[in-house]
Amino acid sequence: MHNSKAPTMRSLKYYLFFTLLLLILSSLIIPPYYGVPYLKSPGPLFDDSIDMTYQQHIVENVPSMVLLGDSTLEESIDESYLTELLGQETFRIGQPGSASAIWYLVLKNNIATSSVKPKHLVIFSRASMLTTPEYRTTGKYEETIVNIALPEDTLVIERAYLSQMNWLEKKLDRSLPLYGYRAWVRKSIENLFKYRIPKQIWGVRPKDVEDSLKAAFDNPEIVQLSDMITMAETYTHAPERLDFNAQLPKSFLPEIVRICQDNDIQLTLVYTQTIYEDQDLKTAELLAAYRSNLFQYAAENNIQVLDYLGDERVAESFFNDPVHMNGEGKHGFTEIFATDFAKFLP
Amino acid sequence: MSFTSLSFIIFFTIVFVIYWLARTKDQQNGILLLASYLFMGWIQWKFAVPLILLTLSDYFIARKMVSVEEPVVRKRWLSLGVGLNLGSLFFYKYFNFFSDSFQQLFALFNFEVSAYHLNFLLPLGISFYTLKKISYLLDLHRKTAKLERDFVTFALYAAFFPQAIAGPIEPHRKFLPQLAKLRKWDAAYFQQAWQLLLMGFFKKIVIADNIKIIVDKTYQLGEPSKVLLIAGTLAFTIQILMDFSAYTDLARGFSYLLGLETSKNFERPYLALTPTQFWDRWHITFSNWLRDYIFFPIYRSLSRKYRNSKKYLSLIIPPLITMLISGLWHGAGYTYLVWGAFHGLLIIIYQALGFGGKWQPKTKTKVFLAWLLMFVLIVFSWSLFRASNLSWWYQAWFQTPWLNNQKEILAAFVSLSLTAFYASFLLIKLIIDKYLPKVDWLQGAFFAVITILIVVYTNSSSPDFIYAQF
Repeated sequence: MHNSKAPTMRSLKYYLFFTLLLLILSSLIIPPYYGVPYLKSPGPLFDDSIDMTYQQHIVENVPSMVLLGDSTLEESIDESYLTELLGQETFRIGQPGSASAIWYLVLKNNIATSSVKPKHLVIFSRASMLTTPEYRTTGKYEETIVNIALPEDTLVIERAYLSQMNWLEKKLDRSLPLYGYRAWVRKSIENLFKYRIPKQIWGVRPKDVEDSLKAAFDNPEIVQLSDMITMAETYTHAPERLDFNAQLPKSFLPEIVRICQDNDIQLTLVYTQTIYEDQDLKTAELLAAYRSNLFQYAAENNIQVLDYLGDERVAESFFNDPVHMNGEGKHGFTEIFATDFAKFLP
Repeated sequence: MSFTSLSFIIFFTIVFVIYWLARTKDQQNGILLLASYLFMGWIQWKFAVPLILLTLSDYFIARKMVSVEEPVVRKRWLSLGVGLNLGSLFFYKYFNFFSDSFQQLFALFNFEVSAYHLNFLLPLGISFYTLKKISYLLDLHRKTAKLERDFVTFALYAAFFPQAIAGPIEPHRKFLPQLAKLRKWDAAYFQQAWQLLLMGFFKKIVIADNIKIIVDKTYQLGEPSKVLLIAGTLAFTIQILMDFSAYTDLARGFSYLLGLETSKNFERPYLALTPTQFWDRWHITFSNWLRDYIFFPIYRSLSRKYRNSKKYLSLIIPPLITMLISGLWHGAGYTYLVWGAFHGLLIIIYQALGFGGKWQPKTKTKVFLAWLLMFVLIVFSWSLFRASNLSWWYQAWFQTPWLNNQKEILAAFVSLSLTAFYASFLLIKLIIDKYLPKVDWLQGAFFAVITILIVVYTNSSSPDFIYAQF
């Protein structure tokens, strides 16, 4: 057990000394460097600047219905074809990687505050996405949330972030700037290699770098994403997340319903078809119970529902991967959806 | 429960305190066994079931086998034990793969059969603990190992939680004697552990998880250009080493804190000059297992059979079979199989060219060229390992252009510079260890810097270790 290469106690003492020194230095440097407060409230910092792109589109085009969802919406509904089929202006917000936190913020800060409001809001979701508030809120998704959230959006902080933090994380997030602002520090490090070094070597601007990265990586083959999709689906199919009654009060769904009612927007929930098969019998039973409770809740709250899970019209051949449709599927499903939704229209 | 999660740290702290309060080695082993089963069953209690059942059967079989002298009967017990372990591994890990393969084979001859799929989760660590127990049974049969009569000790050898999910595949000869003694706390354990633990966390949280983003972006493209593929594969070369060695460092660090020594699993593998050297340095415990229980038995058998003719067979077949098994062990897929075959062929070619045994390049230029060639081959082989399927891999290497557009040069440069940044800390560590190992303040400062980076790069959740999926 004892060998000559074993680290000495002296190096441990130096380690503790240097670590303490660096922690103190970082606590002194980081807040003024980024212009942020020393003690921060746990969770991301939301400021007053907010992306109003969706609202601008609504004001300019006056759609009678807005469709909200993630990349699967983008791949399953042809916006112009749907407008043609329904004879009404539609606006599809299929933001890749979005989930209930982002949908709630888009509704609250872009749609509900618009001078022109749509008559219908249609949310496309699957599994337990509607009642899993923390789903897709950290890492790269946090940036999207910060862009559409206001300082008043404490509900998002509470339900999407604080609910996932343990006591130690909350303490560190509040009082240790190195931890609390680590996303900022990470970005600074990344920017050094992404922008500064290429600028020094080739004289390229950050925009050129972004364009290059976009050109190189922004078109992943959907089939190659299969594993990641399955992993993500596993998360929203976890037993604890399929407990609708336990999840509902923690989720954004009641608030989404309330905002829609307050603004006279008819809410429609679309439970989408998938060909995700990686589930056992117990998960299938839990999913069935979840959907039953969700639909009951919808009925009690005057929410329209279109349920496509298990619908034979939405065939397996429509899909590229477990959740995303191909061109044929997009065309076919747009027609199916238009036919079904037309029944809700006067 | 990931090693880098807070729940594991709390779990380990509780185990650590109770363990060192124990007064006898039986108590210590009992605590560790209970903790190990709790650990395995944490995510799903079902994960602990095959481990417990296989341990019970192996313990019983081992006792039966040593209790008889008749070779035929001994062999029957051995076959049963090995069969149960391999059968479980096949059932959980390979059934669906072979079912699909048979379906595809029949389809080649225009027979339509449907593939039957089992919908089971792969029990954590099954690829590791089955190999541990097979080696134990084989050595008992060969009479080169002593029977472990204490069930708790034997069960702990199979289930010891720091090694349970992703190895190392600790040899019973090294581990069982450690469990036979009472462990007494010594500050030396902590001295051994703290740097390993910090390096483990750093490699995983800072290097592997961040390089993974670059790798995934490349390997998710439908038709990446060769420039992007090379940049992404170089990144994966670092990612897989970091992921794997992080796990080993953490396993060793946590074991030291429990007063137990766990084997090193890799030794600067990318500095290897030859294929055999690479396998002496990469996943060492698994390589040793393959050598002792696959390679040498086949080699000896062929050497005996073809003593006077067809001697080349004993040079070709053992490495090829060994590496094919290695490939299949890493994953139930054709890419892994071809990856194994590629390494098998490298060993065969290397031996056929006369570079077998103790060959070493003599001049510095030759050393550099040998290293460069070997490194290129290793990187190339990782592209097979990471590819989602063979047709994607073939198309990426042989049918796509070097560049789809000029912008990709900048994208590849950014990917490589980020990879180089993360990997630079390893180079700094290598230099410190080689040239300034006794400068305590420098060691302390290095570990302080990586601690700061661990804090900066800590996420709420961390993707699992690559080797945990095996």
